[in-house]
Amino acid sequence: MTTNRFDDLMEALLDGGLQSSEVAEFDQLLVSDQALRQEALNRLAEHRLLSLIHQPTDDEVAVEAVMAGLAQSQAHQVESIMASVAPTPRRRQAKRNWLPWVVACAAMLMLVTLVRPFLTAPNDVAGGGSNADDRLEKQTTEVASLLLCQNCEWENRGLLDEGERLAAGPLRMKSGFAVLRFDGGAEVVIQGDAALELLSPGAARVHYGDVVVRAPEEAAGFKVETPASELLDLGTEFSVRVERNGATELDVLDGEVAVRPLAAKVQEPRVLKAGQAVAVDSAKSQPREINRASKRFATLIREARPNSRWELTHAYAGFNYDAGRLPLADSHRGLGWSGPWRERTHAEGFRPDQDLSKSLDIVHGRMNVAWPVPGGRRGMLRMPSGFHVRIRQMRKKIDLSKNGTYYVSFMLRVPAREEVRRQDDFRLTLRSMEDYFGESVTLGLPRHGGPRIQTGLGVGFRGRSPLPEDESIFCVGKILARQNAEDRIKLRVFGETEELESLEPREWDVVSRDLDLSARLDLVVITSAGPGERVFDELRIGPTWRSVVPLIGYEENEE
Amino acid sequence: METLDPRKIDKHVALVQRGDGDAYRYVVNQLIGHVRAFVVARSLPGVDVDEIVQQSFIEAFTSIGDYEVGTDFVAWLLTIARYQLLRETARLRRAADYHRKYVPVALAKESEQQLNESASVEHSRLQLLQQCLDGLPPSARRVLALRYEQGDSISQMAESLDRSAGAIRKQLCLLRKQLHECITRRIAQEQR
Repeated sequence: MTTNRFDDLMEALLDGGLQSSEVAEFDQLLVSDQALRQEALNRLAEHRLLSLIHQPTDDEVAVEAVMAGLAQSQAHQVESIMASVAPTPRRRQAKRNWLPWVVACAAMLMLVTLVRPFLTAPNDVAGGGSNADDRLEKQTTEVASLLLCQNCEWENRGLLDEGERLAAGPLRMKSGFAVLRFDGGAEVVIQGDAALELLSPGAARVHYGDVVVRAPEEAAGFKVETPASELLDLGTEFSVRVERNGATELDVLDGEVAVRPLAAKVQEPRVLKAGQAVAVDSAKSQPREINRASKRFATLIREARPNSRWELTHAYAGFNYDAGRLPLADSHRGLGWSGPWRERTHAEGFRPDQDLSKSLDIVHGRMNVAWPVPGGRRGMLRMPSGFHVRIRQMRKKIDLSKNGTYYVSFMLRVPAREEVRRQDDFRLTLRSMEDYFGESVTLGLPRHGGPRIQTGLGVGFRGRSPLPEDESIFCVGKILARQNAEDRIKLRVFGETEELESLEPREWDVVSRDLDLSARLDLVVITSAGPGERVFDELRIGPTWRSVVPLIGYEENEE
Repeated sequence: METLDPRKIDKHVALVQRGDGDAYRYVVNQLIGHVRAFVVARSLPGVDVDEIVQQSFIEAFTSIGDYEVGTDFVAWLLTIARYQLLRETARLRRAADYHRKYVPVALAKESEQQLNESASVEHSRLQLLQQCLDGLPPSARRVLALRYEQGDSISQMAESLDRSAGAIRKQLCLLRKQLHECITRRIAQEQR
């Protein structure tokens, strides 16, 4: 009788159905019987271990969490030391005492010694002070990004790629169509033969050429100087044509612009509204009304028909196979890979309970493809519940020690579940074959919390927006690697109702800061953990936004 | 799970002791499964396992100078985890509401007492459980998967399997007892 009741109460405890009155009853039963207490503890342990077996925790994330926690703990410890030795205002007025400063310096040294290995790349520790100076200098002079470049021929900056950061200074385009985004927020279309000077995140000088400026409200105040005038954006869109002799035409397309001839600075600027156009023939002349019908910013972009640039893609995997189990050794389709998909090796953390599936589960039609990606409607990779890792080596490495821009995109569908657990996670990690557990770049999409970026150094960045529920998502990561400046990683998740624009977005869900990476990444590692299946597809890695994002004029990759 | 190489772990611990913070990543990577298995098995409902595991490694790093290379690092680390867990269990026990609602006081006290006594290596219990699980027929494993992998409640399981909640409850109880007996038998065999 007692044994039966013990079983009932034990089962109720394990399944969360123990009522308050039963807790008291169970207590009475256990208090006098040590053997029952021992058995109860053993069965509780087995119950919890069963959960661990069925929902293997993601060691990689856990290790990162420990290392990040360690870095934070060490920093906090040093902060405490600093706080305890910092002289109070009263002490500062009193006789100088060198001891607190020596202790503070020691604490600073300790901070550098303890925290740095976790927060910075190993080679940065060996780096000299001059690199830091260069980095600071370079960072302070970058003012804009090159978003789009169609048939561009540059005169003074060599081969500029889309996505690249642009430092302040002259920018001369001989021909083509380009779009810049200034760090202040204004976007500028440059068409044909043009000479500009990028002055600051909020200002440019146009020596000659045709430009159209679009400055959203938050970028209001963007200033354009020409040889004849100074134009101050007041939250608007306007077109400027500057002749080689400096004569300037301004056409306000939306909002308001203040215009002032350069040699008449004491004069109040004239504010023009949408539909008004003026010409300023020289620095000394007054603006005169003209008729001009310029094209809007969006029209110009549309007419330029920026299509996808799949030919630039470094690596592509579309899982375009027949539905069913595909042996890993046969998963050789795609572009830019050194071999088929595979499991982890022992050096990469092989676990027999997680790495013994020798096939890919290919399914069709399991994702709502809201974007023009026909490949996404054919084969796709299903990752069932549990912990799964798949690895593939790229032919072209992502070299973070040199200047370069890289984009990664993929589609994912995670069916909705009422209960979200901590281990519910999907991530795509770029790793190095030479140093698997060294520096890496992870684009993580956990169900618990927002999207995240991790670098394998115990440094992580998390976005606030939750992931869209029960719909397909299109994810884009951007890696801006710079030799002597801060590396920057960004991640943006698009839901089914969000359109993929021709230009990379102004807002990203997660943006890194203070990174200095130098790894050469050649492995793509996809990891799915937790209950519930995930469907993954259309992985692309390339040098530009358009090389990884489906736009109009789509042409499928040949696998 | 890979077999641990104590010499390799000691080598990395020695590097950490000499100031190589990066070497600690290897140590964490190798031992996090062991520490988690221990904490999961020895903690009561309500304990944040991830937090205890993380704190254990942080505490171990802070005290790494106290470890004597050549002795047993896993045992040393599990002792730290044991004290972290003991502190948390005691904290939970002091929360009056906790026992009234969830766990009998006698069970919590027994758990604390055992934590005070030793840090049994729960990793072997995990491996034995896996072996016992592998010996179950697929239909039984499916029931356990619904409960533990999908996290379904008894009523959800009953709906999925088109059976009554009572029948599911009974089968789960039998399966758990069967696994418990299997593990108890194997532990006894190992100790012989």
